[in-house]
Amino acid sequence: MKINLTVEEKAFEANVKDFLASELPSNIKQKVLQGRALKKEDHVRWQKILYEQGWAAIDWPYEYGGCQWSAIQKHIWAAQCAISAAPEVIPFGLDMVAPVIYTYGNDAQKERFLPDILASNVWWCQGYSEPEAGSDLASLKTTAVIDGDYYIVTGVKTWITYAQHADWIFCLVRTGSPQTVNNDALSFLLIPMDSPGITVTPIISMDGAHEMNEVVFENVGVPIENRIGEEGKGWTYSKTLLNHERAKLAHVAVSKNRLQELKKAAHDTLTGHGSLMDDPRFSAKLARTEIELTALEFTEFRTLIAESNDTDPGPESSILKIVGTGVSQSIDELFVELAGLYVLPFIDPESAEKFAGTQIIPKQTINTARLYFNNRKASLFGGSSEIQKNIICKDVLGFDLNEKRGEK
Amino acid sequence: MNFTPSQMQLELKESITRFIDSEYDQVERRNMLASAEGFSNVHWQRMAELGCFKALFKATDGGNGGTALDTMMLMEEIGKGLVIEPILASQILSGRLIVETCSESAKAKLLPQIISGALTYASGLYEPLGRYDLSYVSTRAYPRRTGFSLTGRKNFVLNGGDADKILISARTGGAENSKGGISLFLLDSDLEGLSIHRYKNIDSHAAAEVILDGVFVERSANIGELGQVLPGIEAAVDAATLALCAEAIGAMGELNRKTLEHCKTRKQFGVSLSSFQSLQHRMADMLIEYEQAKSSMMYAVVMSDENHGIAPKEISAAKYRVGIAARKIAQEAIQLHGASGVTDELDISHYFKRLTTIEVQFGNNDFHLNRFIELSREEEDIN
Repeated sequence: MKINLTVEEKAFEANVKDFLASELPSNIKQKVLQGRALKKEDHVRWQKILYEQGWAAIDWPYEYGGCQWSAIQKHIWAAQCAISAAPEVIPFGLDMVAPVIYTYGNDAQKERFLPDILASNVWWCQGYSEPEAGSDLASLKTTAVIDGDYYIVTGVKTWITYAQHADWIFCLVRTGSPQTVNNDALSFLLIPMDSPGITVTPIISMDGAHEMNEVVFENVGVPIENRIGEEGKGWTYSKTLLNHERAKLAHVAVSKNRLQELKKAAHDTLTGHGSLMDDPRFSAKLARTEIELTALEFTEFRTLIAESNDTDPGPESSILKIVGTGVSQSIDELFVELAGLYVLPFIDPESAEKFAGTQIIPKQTINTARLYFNNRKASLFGGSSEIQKNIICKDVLGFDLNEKRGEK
Repeated sequence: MNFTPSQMQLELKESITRFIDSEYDQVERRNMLASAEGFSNVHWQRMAELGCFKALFKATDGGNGGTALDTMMLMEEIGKGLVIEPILASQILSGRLIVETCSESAKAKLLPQIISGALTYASGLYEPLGRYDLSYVSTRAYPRRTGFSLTGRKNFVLNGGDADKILISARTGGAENSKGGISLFLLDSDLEGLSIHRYKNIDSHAAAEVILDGVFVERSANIGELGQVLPGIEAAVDAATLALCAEAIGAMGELNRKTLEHCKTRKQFGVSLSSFQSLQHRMADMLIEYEQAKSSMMYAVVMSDENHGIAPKEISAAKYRVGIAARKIAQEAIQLHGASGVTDELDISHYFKRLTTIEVQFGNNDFHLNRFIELSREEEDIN
């Protein structure tokens, strides 16, 4: 997608480029370029640089530290970050819990939590899913029972990304009586991870990484003042949050940049009949993906424009999530096809040059398998693609999902 | 057209199923993966005792089977059980290379130790710049007074780090990618000038990069006709490709079964996942993929057995169709299992990784589609 920029927008773009060129630490940039896992310190270091610049929370309202950027400016920012191989901001604090706090929290909570999120002083994680409540989030069983000035929280949360690094977790918990099984009994609680009674157990994913965890709460006391908004409104609050999360999960700018890298790599990959780019089968697949991605970019742009007119991202964010994950997973698959047999060796990227001083896998494909494996979760997390389609069916198309077919 | 298994084939299938069920569970498999060897010699010997290896060779070669149907029956079970032992690299690919290229006397010398499981083999046929092209051989074998000196590099050598013997394709004539001038050499793994760098693949099978730096071998190390072994290499790789297709079918059948079971038992929104029509249709699609892939594979098996083991076009068709189904079924199995599908703990991800590997090995989908088109054209030109 090419946009004709105004003089001001061009100046903004130049400013963004300068900033990224001078401020993005080169070791972090290298890690992103090579698809290597970043450490917590890397993320925090970069997010603090963004904070110093005043660009840590571009989507927040201005009064809390946001940027007041136009849709075009946000687009420029995302594109330049991807091109410069800047890490994506870890969303749990800045993009996920903060909007709930500044929208539904009281003044004391805003003052207490927002500045530390903005400055990346604290690390957050999200406690929604449970072993028996995955796609069906509303059936979650973790309870919070009032005892004096505290809620006593008991239950199991799972698939918690980066819980091992987190200082705080925001949770959906069941308040009301245990008999209430509808969404009206859920509340939104902020819980310090060092509270007595919390146990974190790693879950290793198929690429060998430790990102996910199970978090067990055993009679954990949480001050009532840590509840956001009203008791029983947690589901409503989190739905707004999920809409924000989904819109972000399209990863358009990152996919665009990866597609460019894929093209370059296809030119460099020899097949015996010229380069892989000369193979009509491969280049057609590349072209199809590019067309889909360009359309997605414009869909996202339309959403950004609507948002800048103060409309909350609604069900259209589900379309962004479904198509965005589809495109990014197609790019993963094309990298696998491009790598050919080089996708097979499962070599630690830190020691890729150990074989007699020569590279066993070309640099461009060293992380191909890991990324392909790791990104399978994209269509599951943040509401699976199936759940996104249910949202579209219910909220856009107006279907009654509980309607029963006539018995035969 | 006959694809009804014999009594003996059915009995072997039953005993390997029993072996996998009783002695090869996922806990045992995980322990092996974590061990230094990466697979178990005990299992290897058990498979030899059960007659798995014998079934892969003709009676005239010391076996009791040797048809594509024999291989298929075995490899489907290997796929179901996610068996990690190097049966494909050693008994099938290397064994078949010897069968295809060697004299009767050489076969009589080499095959018994393969069939008994006493030795394992590896075959280095691919090179860094050749992609899937078996005729791309830049490794050179220079004639010396009493033998040859080998220099070059072979990669993606399955079982290369663990094998007792390694077969290497090397050029004794012709340009880098010409079809003539390719010869086959049998190497001990401890020769001077030979460096073997072992690593694990994404599916936990071990492989190696083999670097030859002036490795001297006696004249007798050259097996097969000097400069003329490419057709034999292609036939052996085709046989291994078909075996891999059968393994994939076994793995896919198991993934479909596990996914169906999960959807019937996992409850969300107060009902089982399998009560949602959209998910029912997804599982119906997975079954259709499986059956179509299985038919492509079986047709290639039948054609191969009716044409003395030669069915390149049908084998490419099968590899392509199986590759399409493998990707679809592996991805859908994860998606329908939800987040637990991407964990290391559940074996769904292990099947996913094995199927991803199979899709790439011996040529990916595009490679075999292109090969199918070329072979079809050649056929039309002849007719």
